Amino acid sequence: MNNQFKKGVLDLCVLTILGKGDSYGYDVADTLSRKIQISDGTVYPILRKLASDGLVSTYLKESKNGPPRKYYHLTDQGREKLTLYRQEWDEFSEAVKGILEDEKT
Amino acid sequence: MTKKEYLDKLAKELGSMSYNDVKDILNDIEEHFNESMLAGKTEEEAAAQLGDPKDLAADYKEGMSLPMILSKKAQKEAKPKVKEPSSGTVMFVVLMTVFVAIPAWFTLFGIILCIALAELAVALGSLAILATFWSYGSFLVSGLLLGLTLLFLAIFGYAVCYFSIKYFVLGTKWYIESMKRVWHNGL
Repeated sequence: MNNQFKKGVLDLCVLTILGKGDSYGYDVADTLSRKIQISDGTVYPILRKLASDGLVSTYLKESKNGPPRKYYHLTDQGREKLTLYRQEWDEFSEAVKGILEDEKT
Repeated sequence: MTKKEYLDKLAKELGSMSYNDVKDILNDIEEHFNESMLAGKTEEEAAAQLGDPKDLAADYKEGMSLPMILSKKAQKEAKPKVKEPSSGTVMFVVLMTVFVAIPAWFTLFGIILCIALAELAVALGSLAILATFWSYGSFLVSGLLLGLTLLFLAIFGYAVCYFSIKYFVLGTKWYIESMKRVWHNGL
């Protein structure tokens, strides 16, 4: 898929995944790259950006079989943004769908 | 590519970032490698799935410049700023400007103007004396020395002039900027 195209939506995807519960980098990358064709690496700059914007916070948590993992948690501000992005995305994709349907007929 | 090779390459591509940022990023990616190992992948597989370190570094850099703009915007949005400055602020800015800044500005401007004019006089005087010396050739040492002294005084004076004008302009700019800030953000 077109790269520029994906970039805009990935923030929304990452926020949505974290909206379901705290998660660590590898898990987010794995979940996303199973469904969308992206490199695993792509999610890390996004997570970092979201953290520096205050939309997610991070904490370290011991894991059973290895060194501690860095977990990402959606902040209240992040939740607000998620709702906003989600709404924008729904409106946008509906509009695009409408345009594409019109083209067909 | 092994984990080490990948991290080295990434570090190199991140080059211009601060030490702390690079360290942080490398930690995240190293953690990804470790998790991949736990999931049964080899270092080569993990590196391949991460994508080209060059692209990853570019994504990081892009993200760095973006959040700065966004967070500035966010800060502005976060502060529900009243469009109208409070009456206290208005009073402060007006009083400060009318009774302190404007008189001080004109006084300084006057002083600098005086220095500049005095400078011009000294410079012309020194040139006149040098010229006289040249045309008559009879005042010899005393005339020459006086002329040279005045000339050096003129050069020194111009340096003083230059710096006072420069800082005068900078000071004026600073004052206007800080008043603007007070106006928009309150005291």
